[in-house]
Amino acid sequence: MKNHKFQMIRISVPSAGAAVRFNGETDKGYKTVRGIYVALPDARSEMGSAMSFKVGGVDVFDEEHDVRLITCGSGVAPNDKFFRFEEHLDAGGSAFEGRFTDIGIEGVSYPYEAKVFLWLINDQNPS
Amino acid sequence: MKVRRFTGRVEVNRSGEIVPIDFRLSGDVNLCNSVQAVVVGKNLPVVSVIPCFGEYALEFEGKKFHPINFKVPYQYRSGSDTTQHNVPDLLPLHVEVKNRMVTGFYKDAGTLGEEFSPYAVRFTFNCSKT
Repeated sequence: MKNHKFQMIRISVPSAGAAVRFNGETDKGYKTVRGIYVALPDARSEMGSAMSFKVGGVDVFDEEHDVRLITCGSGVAPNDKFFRFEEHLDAGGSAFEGRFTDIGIEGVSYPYEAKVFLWLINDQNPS
Repeated sequence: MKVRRFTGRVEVNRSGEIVPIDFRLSGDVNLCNSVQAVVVGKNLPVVSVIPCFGEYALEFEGKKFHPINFKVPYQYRSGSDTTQHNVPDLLPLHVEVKNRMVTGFYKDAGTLGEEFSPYAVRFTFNCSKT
């Protein structure tokens, strides 16, 4: 059985202040969403951008959830980059949706691509 | 355990302004585990680093609990401190909530002086139902 998968969601942000909806399904082969990590090409965009996220009908982050709380710098080791959910979130082909809202801060180039990574696992009770 | 995360926002329009806080957490939680406050969308044009934007105080259950009086963290001009910073964690609170009202204030520190322009502060609450 495969235990880990890192599923990527690409979000194209066309202009300053844009709010972009995204949706999809988690990989059917994994039971739990263990963590999430958002990667932005310009760290200045982190200063106030927000992202909502809902998976399997559960509101995980509301519309104003700060991206800074689910991202980190490039110097952080890959296994430490993820925000780890303390609650159990069903994966297994669950539908997810969300909205990324750019803050429109000065000096950032547009368009850019935000990447959201979901960490999916098969353990029910990960350490 | 059911986890709910809430975000509240206050707008600061004048240097040194004191903004009242009046949030209501969702009805299906009974514990507020942690909180974080960050400035939204501020990219300082001149000042490279400032120690803090302001301070805030939060009260729960109609001023029954006053667990936090803290500053809003500094940030760098470019926001490109990408080498070291980890996924930010929240300040631990562990306050039982019944009426779920959160009140208090945010006070701008006045450190921006003539460079001041309106900004917002976003509060994130991590709550749960046990």
